[in-house]
Amino acid sequence: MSGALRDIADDIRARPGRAGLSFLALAVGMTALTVLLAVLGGLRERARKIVEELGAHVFVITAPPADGAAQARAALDARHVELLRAHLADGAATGIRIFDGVSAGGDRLARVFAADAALLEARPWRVADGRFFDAYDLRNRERVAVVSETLAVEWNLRVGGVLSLGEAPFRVIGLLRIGADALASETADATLLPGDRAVFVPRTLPPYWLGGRGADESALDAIYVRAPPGASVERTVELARGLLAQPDQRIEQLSVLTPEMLLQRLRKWQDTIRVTAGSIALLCLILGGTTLMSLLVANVRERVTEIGLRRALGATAADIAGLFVLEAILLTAAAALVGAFGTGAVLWLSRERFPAPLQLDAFVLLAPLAVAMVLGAAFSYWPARAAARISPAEALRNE
Amino acid sequence: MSAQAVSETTAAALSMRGVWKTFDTPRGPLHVLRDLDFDIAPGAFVVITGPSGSGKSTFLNLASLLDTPSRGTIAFGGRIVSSLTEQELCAVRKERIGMVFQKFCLLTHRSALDNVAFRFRYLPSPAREARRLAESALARVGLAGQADQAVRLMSGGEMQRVAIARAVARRPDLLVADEPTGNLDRASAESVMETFRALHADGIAILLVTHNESLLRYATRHLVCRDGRLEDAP
Repeated sequence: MSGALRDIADDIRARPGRAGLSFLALAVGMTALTVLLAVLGGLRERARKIVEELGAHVFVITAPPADGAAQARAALDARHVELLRAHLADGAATGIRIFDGVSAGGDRLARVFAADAALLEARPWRVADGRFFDAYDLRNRERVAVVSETLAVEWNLRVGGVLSLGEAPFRVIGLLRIGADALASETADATLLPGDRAVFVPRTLPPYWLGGRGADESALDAIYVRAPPGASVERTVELARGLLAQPDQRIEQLSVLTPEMLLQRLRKWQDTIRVTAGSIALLCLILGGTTLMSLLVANVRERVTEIGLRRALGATAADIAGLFVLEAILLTAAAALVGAFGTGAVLWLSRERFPAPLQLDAFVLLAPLAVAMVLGAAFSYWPARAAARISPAEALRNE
Repeated sequence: MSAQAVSETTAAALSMRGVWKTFDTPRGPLHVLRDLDFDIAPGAFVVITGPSGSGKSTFLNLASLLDTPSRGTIAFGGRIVSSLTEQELCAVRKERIGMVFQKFCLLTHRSALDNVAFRFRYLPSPAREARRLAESALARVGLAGQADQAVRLMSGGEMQRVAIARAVARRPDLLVADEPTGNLDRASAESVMETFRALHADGIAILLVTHNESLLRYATRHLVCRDGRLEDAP
């Protein structure tokens, strides 16, 4: 093996320009391939996180107003949640009402979510400290609140502390960890994205913060539904639509948001990048491969006498073919390492400013290496075969 | 020729019986070698002369097992060459035959020592052992002091001696040389032939093709190649 490596190093030293050109073309191809893999990986990871942050098998139902903005989202209420629960044995359904801009003392404004205890069955948020409200709190209309971790840090709130909402005191019983970074890149809808100043209170409480203005306590802005295990989101959406479309439910228009709908923009990105960057990578790799092949063809022609000498010294046809295949594989592998790791380093350094999510892992860095080796073997096949077929006597006559 | 007939010549390093070499040309088949019989015994020094185009080089290609005859049988060390697999044929070439070429066939960007050590490229010799044998072979041809010199900086005579050192770095049973002095001045040619003489004295069979009649004094046998046949010189 060391002899072969020495032979290859000598050959590259003897023809640096040609080898350098092939190397450059292949490295550019590998760069494009690395960017493609990193971006597609990043988008795939973001899609996974979006689904994770929304909740696995979760979809959101909202009901736009029947006659204008004044009654916005008032068409849903607690009865609809109960109806859905009754038909989703192993699934989950929970409703929320959102109150924006609730005064929390001084100039502090919070976004209040009136929810029930089943909220955490549908959304994947975790209690970081304390607890979430339970059936007792709901039944007894306890004035308790669970706040987002970010709000707790910002307003210095702790479990056991007191938070004023519309001048009514609420006991803080828990802190909620809400992961929504990926979701935030796709939507700003409060029904999906509680935001940094989220406060959760039992849905059965009267809205003290409205200052005496009456509010339908059973009204909901959104219902989260988690499909039962084994049931697809699409089928569960159909079931929910069917249930809520019954005349006695008094809902004229339903709006459903599934994870797949949220991912549509990402899918378009993925398709666009796959086609554009994929074409560039493919073209560069074909260009690199053909340059490599021309390098090897020229090498074979120039090294006919050397091939004859090697055969005279006992090399088999396979040894001769192997010499060119190995040279091609090493050249492409070196180009892949430089292209992939160089690009990986640049992408890593510029990841904050890069306009798309990136994933830089072992696969992204090593896949170009595997592609390079296959490419090297494929494009060297013909020149190597031609070299192996040269008759030693003919080759030495070339001397 | 039958295998039985070849086995009778096992004493010979190389034996040919009824060998023809024919090339297809646009004008029809061209018989370069015709019904040729030849033996070279271990330790013999055979010089072949003949006009250009008489088939000398084709004969040498067959003798060094780089080519196969169109008809007839070649045996090396008693084994019929046509019965050998490619691996076995290559093993014979690398282990038992040394070759010297008119234009040296050196790797010009490498040193003299590297060129000689290249003899072991396809042999399972450890690199250190190959280097030691290469140094020894260079010393044998009087180039011990120039082992690290790039061969492109050497004179023609020195280059040919490097090529000879490469051929004998692993002791061959048969050393085949095609016009080894063809590109050399008289003094260099004499020096090279002295090297051949020393190798012959060491018991290596030498088969040498040349146009230079002055080299005949080194030979134990002189053959003339004429119209594709070998004849003993008068």
